[in-house]
Amino acid sequence: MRASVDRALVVCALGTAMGWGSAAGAQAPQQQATTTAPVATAAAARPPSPARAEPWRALESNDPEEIQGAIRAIQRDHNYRAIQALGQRIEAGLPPRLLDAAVDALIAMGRGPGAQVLVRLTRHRRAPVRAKAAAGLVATRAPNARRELVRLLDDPSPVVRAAAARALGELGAAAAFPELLNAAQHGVPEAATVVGATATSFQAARLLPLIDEQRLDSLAPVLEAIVGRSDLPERSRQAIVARLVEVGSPGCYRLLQRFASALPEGDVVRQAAAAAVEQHTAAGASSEGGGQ
Amino acid sequence: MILRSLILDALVVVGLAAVLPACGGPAFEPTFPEVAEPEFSKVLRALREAQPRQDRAVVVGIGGEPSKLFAWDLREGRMLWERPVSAASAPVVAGNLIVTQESDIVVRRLEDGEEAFSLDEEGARLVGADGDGRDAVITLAHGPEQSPHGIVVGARGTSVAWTRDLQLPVGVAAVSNGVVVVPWATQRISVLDMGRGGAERTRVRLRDAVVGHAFVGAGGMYVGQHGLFRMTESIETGTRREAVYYEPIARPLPGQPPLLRDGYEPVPPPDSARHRVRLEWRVTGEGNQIGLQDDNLYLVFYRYVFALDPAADEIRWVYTHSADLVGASVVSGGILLVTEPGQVIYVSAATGMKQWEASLGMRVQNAAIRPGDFVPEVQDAAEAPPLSAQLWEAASLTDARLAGGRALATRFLARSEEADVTGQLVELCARRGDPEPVHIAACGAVAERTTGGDHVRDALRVHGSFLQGIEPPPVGALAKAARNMELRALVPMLLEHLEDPSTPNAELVGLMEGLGGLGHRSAAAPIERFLRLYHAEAGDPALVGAAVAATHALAAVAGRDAEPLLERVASDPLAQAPVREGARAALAALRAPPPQQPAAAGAAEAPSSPPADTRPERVTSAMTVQLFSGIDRQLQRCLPEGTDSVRVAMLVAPDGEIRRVMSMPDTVQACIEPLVRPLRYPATRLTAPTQVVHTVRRTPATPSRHN
Repeated sequence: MRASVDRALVVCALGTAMGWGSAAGAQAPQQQATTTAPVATAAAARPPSPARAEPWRALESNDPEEIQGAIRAIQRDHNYRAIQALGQRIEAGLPPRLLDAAVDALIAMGRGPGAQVLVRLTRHRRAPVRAKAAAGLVATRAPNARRELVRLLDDPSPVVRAAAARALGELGAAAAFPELLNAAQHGVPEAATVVGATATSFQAARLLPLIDEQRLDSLAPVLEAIVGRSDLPERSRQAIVARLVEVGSPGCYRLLQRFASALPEGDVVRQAAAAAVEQHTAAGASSEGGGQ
Repeated sequence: MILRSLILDALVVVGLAAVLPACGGPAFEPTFPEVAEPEFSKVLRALREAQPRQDRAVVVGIGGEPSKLFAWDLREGRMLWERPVSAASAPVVAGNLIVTQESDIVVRRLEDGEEAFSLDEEGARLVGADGDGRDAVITLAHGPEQSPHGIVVGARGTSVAWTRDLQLPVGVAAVSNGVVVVPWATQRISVLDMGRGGAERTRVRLRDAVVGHAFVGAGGMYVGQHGLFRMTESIETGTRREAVYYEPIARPLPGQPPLLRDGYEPVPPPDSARHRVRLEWRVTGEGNQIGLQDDNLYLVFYRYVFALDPAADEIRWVYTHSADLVGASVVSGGILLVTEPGQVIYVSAATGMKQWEASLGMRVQNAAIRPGDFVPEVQDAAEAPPLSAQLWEAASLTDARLAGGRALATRFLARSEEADVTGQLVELCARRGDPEPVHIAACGAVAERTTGGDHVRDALRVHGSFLQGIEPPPVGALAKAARNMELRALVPMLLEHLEDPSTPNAELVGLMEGLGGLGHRSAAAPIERFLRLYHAEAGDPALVGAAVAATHALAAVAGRDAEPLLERVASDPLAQAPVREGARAALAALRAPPPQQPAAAGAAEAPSSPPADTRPERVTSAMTVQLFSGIDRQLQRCLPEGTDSVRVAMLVAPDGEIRRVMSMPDTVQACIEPLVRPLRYPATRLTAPTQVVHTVRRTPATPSRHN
């Protein structure tokens, strides 16, 4: 019994036990001791079986295979008491392969203390780690996930921006609509997809004044997604067609042409788009004829 | 040799045919006696007594569409003639003749552009030509390019007078007062008699210099290649020290243009970049003195003219034009330039301001200017802007071909201590899309700045943003500048950049060095977190380098408190090897006993007053220059063919030991590292190793045919 408690303490206080002493001052060890205390208490109250304790020990190893095994075991067993140790091991530094596996394990275990580790990893210097952490914020229900994901829409890496946009979509994009729309307009295609797929009719109406010749290319994926949605009121979708006709640039008519060919037969928006294109073509032919 | 004259009458052809067999006599052979008297003295007297040339001031060029050879009179400001041409070389003006390499070597009359004669020796390449009144000498190369044979052709009026063949290469010859001076085989100079069928009169051999050119300038006849010898009595010594000799200082210049183009190489084609990147000067002086007109050495670099101090690594001014400069010639008080759009302009030697301009009326590919004693009548120039403003204008251009010139301008701009120059350098350094030489020069300069702290702070306020289209600032260089200026208040801003993924990993080494140098305790925890998180990261060398730098930065800001973490990293098999090494080195530096000062006389009697720490604060570029001067030649031998420079990055410990050497490109690492590793810098007061970058540049090479 005593041996198990000691083991838990050692593993939970991994940062200090492994020699990762803080040079920042005397406060850091105290902080670590404070944060690890509940886990240690829990371990003392209900000690893990030797088989369950083994992964914690292996996290201390310098052997990558042993660490990998420990991570797998923690994930397999959904050993929530090990999450903190895993988080500390991540922050104590792992080679890329092990770091990826550890982050996967944190995400797989869902809601829990791993969320804050993931928040910190959204600033990691490797873009795939940031992208993975962004996706993981949703799975772990991190309390400040939305704010962090909005920040990640501005990440230097397209992989991270895409992950953040998708994650915001999963979280429910309504609250981040302006940021997603901004990202969509600045060439984050996943943000356009999310906006198009989640915009309410009110939000769709807010898009209308933004449609002009300059912004059409960046808004086109959003508009295509919105007019293709059967769950939106017809008038919201029709309003987009009307606005495109009003702007009337060649790009608008190319987009209307796409609506006319991509939407299902019988869709009233398809019919409206086709009619607009036809009218525009006829007017053009007439104007050419007049010129002759 | 086959000569084909298009305008000689039958009599001349017959006469010439009679002369030719007698030309290949023993005179112009390797065994001719050197400086034999009395001929040597007679030759020198003839050269001294030569009358100043009365050359017509002309611009002769190739331009227009389709391509035309043209001559334009500078004094009269009018086109003399134009002739269709398909030229393989730039034109050479030689007295009253113009020589171009076409399918044959074609010699035209300057007066009207009519062909005088042509030389159709198969495979012959035009090397050079010179003329004095009605005398002209043309030198050619034929045979294999690596070991060509030489041909010297003497012409009088508009016809060939004689030829001489040589089994060795000949350089660019000159003629004055009937004396033909021919450099050959890189160190020999033969003097031929124009009037006696090119018979050799005397010979000189240079013992410690290369000669590829002979030319006539102020004060007489000159020979040289990397430097200039005046043909006086003292040239018989054949040494630079004892002869009348001049050579501007060597310095790194973009494209490394030689003082004189290789005298044994054919005249480059009209579109060759060598016409647009070259040194221009005009020799002056008399007797034992040689100097340059207006004491300026001009570097023409595409659109720039840099007026250089020939005796010091200094720039006097830089003129920036809106188009390429395709011809240049120095005249009294300034430099005449021909621009690609077809302007002839005159730029003041004193100020670098344009003072005169005329139009040729056609686009020009290449132009030779023979100004004679022409100097345009100029209006007073506007006051020149300060040198730093001229350099900033030059450094800011975006034409990709100008990278070398921009880097040069940047290097000299950095010499200004003005605070605003720091802002300009930061702006240049922040342009990551700029060519590498400019970026390196600018960021290197920012990292060395000691003034302009406000600009450093303003730049650090900016963070990269994809959505706002904002590039991250050059944090590494800015951090070093902050360190130089001891701007500890900027540490929080630097730490924000450390945490910001938009800060490129490539900036982190400089950032760590800056943080380490600033030595602020508040940086300890963030650096420690960084080192923990990334000490085992592989894949991105910049991130590995940053982790290495973090070991030293942590030691610098946390002192002995850094030991536990450094020990752990040093013994962690999962850590990247360079990071482990870095941690060990940082630990060793922390644990090293304080440096012993040499015991001064009487120190034993006064133990309470230790000698002041005389070590320099940090590694300086002057130390690097001095250190590398001893192995520069060996390092240059490491440069691969076609490469003009290699960068050597070193990690220098506080005790002066060079701990790591990296070359860029890394293909020369095996050659560079053994030479650099044994060097040792002076010990400094730094508490952590610092990174030093040195560029090994190829200096003008001695021709490979050097005897």
